[in-house]
Amino acid sequence: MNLIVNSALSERVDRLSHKSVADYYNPYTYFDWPDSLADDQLWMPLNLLSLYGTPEFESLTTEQIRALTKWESINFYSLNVHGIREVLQEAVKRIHTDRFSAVSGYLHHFVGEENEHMWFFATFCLKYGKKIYPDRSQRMEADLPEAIEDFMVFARTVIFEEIVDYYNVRIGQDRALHPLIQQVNATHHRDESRHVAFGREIVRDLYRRVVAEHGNEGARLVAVYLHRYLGHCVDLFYQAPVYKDAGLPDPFKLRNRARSAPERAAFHRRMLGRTLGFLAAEGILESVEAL
Amino acid sequence: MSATLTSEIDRLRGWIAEHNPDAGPVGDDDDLIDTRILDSLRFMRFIYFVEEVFEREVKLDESVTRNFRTLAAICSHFKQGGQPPLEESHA
Repeated sequence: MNLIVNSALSERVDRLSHKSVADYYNPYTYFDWPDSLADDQLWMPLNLLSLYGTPEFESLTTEQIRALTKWESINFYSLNVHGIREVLQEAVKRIHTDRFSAVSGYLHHFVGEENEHMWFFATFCLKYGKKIYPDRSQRMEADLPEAIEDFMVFARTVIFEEIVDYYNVRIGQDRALHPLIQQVNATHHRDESRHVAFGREIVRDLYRRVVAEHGNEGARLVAVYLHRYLGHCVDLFYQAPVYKDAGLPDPFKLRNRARSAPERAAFHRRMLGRTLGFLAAEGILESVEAL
Repeated sequence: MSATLTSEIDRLRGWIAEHNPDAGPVGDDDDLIDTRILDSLRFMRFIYFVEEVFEREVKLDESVTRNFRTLAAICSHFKQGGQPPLEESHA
């Protein structure tokens, strides 16, 4: 049985499929990868750094700031690699199942494009950072009912995509950065605009199914899980190994201090603003405590 | 449990009391996950605090929920050396 019955969703997803075909490029030949990127430059805008605005940031040397932009960039692209791996596994599990038959055509484009994004992010990390930072996500929820699991998979995906896009837009438009850094981020932003549009459509549809099958208790449960997930996403941008690689002292203490620094709360709100607006407008998550 | 580790385990106990006051006193052998003392979000934040206390990176593989399930298991893990220091693990 096809549980996604919204015909408007099918039509909109068909339009996204046509756009994917029209916008297609070969990522393996699209970028010019220099042999190296110099360390004595900024790799991302300062106001995207996890320490920006904190007292610790004020005491950093120019060299430490440059190093921090490099290693926070490598962390950001590593997060993309791990996030995409999870997305791919979950999308592939669902493609051409009865429940997702209405969107399986588009899922081919989605899976193909995400695979290519994973390739260029991993290439960046390995070529210029010589590593991909390990995955720090840990899921411990018990097995969930199918409707809630389906909803959570696509809700997590669209939340993650919108957070990443916040960074992509700002890095991709910063003309002070190396052209490759701008290009990687601007390219990802262009593709992700389709994925976010798809994600929002399917999340709306799957949420209706959660409420239809599990009522208020289902709605309450997904709100709890989403709130936890949003906090977890913020956690991922504060990593001791990154601070260590940037040459900063006491990286573990610094990590926990920066993550809870009051100066960072406004940035978290801005970073999550679009996704929180969407979840509130849909009545999925109406109020969120400090993240 | 050595004196040093006792003090570190007490810091972990203090973190749990602060972040989950409903949990009540936590014994060395209480299962932090099965008893819901730590849910999935608190577990990760707890791990970040464990890293700060022991100044060691915790590798998040399938062994993490085994080695970090009780305060006694955490103590035993770090008594045996735990993970290598950060600079070695990222060499």
